[in-house]
Amino acid sequence: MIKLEGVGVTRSGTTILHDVELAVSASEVVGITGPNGTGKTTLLRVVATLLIPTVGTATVLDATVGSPQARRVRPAIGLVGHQPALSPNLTLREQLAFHAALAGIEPERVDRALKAVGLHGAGDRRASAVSAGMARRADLARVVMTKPTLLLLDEPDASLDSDATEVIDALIGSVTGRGGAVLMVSHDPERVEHRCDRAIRLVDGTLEAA
Amino acid sequence: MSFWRQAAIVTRRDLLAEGRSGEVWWVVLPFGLVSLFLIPVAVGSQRSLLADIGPGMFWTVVLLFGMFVTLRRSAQATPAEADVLALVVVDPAVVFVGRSIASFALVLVFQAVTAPAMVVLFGPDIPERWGWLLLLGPLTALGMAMTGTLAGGLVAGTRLGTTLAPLIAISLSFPLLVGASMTTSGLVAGTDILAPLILLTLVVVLVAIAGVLTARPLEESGA
Amino acid sequence: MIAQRILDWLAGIAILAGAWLALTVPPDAVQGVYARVFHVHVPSAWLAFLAFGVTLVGSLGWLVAKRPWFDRLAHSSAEIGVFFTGLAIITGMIWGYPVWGVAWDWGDARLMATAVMFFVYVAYLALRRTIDDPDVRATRSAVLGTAAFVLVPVVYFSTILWRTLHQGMTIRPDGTDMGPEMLTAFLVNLLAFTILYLAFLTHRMRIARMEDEAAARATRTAGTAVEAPDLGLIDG
Repeated sequence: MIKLEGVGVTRSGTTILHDVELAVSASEVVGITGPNGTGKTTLLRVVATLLIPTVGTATVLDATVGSPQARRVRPAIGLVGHQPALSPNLTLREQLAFHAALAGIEPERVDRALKAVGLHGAGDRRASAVSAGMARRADLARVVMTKPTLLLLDEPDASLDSDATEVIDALIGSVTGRGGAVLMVSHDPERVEHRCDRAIRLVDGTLEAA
Repeated sequence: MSFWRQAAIVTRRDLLAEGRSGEVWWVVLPFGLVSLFLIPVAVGSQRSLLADIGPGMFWTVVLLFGMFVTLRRSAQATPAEADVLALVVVDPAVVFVGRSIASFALVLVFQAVTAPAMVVLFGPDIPERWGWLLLLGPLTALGMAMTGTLAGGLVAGTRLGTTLAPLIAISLSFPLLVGASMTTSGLVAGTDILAPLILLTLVVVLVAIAGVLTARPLEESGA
Repeated sequence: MIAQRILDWLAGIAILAGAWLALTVPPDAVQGVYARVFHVHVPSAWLAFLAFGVTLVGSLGWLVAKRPWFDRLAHSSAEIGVFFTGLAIITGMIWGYPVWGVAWDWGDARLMATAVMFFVYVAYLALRRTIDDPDVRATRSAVLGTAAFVLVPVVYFSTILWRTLHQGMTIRPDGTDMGPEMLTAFLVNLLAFTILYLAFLTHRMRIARMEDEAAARATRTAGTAVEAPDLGLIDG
């Protein structure tokens, strides 16, 4: 589902990634760990087709990142970044409803997703008025709703309580159960390893087996 | 999901966000009205002078403050929002078109409130062919909305972004000011308005083309 | 390297020849000696158009081919264009003061349009300074470099579009109203300024390439900047 060959990314005079080789197949859960500032988020954005590698080829769901085909596989990618993707002025329910409308998903799924992450009662609160953990749950609700084939998680446990980490476990199970794959990155190996089939360390911009 | 349906959703989302934050209605609009009020204080109360400069002052205020309407905070997506939006839209130009339509509607509201205020405060001559103004206002608003959206996209995520965007947007929309004010003075004087109207339309079309064609490279250059 | 030397010498000689001609032609029947400013003013304005046109070409080239050479072309040319736009405005004001009676005439459309064109390209240079990543900077400024060119035809045709103080087109497809000596001096200056532009451009692009290479040499590897913390220092 993911194949990175000799991928390198240079931004603002910094080599963030170099010679990254990675293959992730269907139903696999792969974790990437590494200290702060090693390029984990950049790697995730390449796999999300949002960042075109400076060198090498990245193939995601059979489309090459940077080619016109990459655009067509995007609806099948679910990304939960380390910052919440929420507009401060809209309520959590509105954000999900707009996303559902853009993605062509039936509106009934919005409330289901909010219930699934335990935010049904907070659906009418604006994003600016919820805690970091709740914002994160709202982000998870978005991927619950879109049912992606490829789930990408950036520091999934950040600011989450134990109930919410169970949401992540269930979400991962649901994606792999449908034959999808999961790639997650975290600075904390302990949080990643128990969920993964494989954990890889990213050190100084390149991957090494953990 | 078609291009235009997605664009319409982006428009509705932007307008709802603006309605909630109230930035245009409660901040930019009063600011524009205050500036219209300040001009007669500064230049003196001579009726004929005020009547002469009124329409020009109106367009200046629309251009300057209208740009702040199009560059309002609620229209600027965070990098995380931009990423999620890029994954769901069929074409990056959807965002440009959707945002521009939302800004267009808001600039129209701005014009609709400041224009009567200008007429009351400055007492300009109302041209016989005033119907043309109903075309001129929306045409200028459309050009401003697209220029502002483009400028906002150019500076997204950069240092100095919020300070630099108005400089880019206002200087780029200079032909709009020329076209709008020349058409207005032509209407008042009863002269031919074809040339400035053509200029205005041409600029609007060119900015539209630039905005649609550059949407993809701008999305890929997300900082 | 040799080609650059030749170009530099050529530019120097041409500028001297142009200056000599401009200072020795008989004074204009109407404008007198003030008409001599014309030999700097019009070539400067022409170079501004040429330079921004080249910026447009470089911008489009980058957007299509993503080769750094195009970005350096667009950037270098915009810098030179801003300089010559400024020179055209200042010489125009020097000319305008004795001839029109005012240095800055608000009724003059081309003067205003040129001033705004100046600001757009200043904004272009400002935008470049705010972005660190070379690819992002090239793309963002290429978009602005393309959109800003909308203004150039507006400035160029402004004297046709609305008649003002500014002289109309002096050389038209159907002939000219300049005397032969004046015309020669004018054409030599036009050529000299164009060669000067090419010399500036090639130098500036070489500097830009060296800047890019220096930035590439300074490339760091992510993660190496973060070290193990020294906990002893916290309580010390």
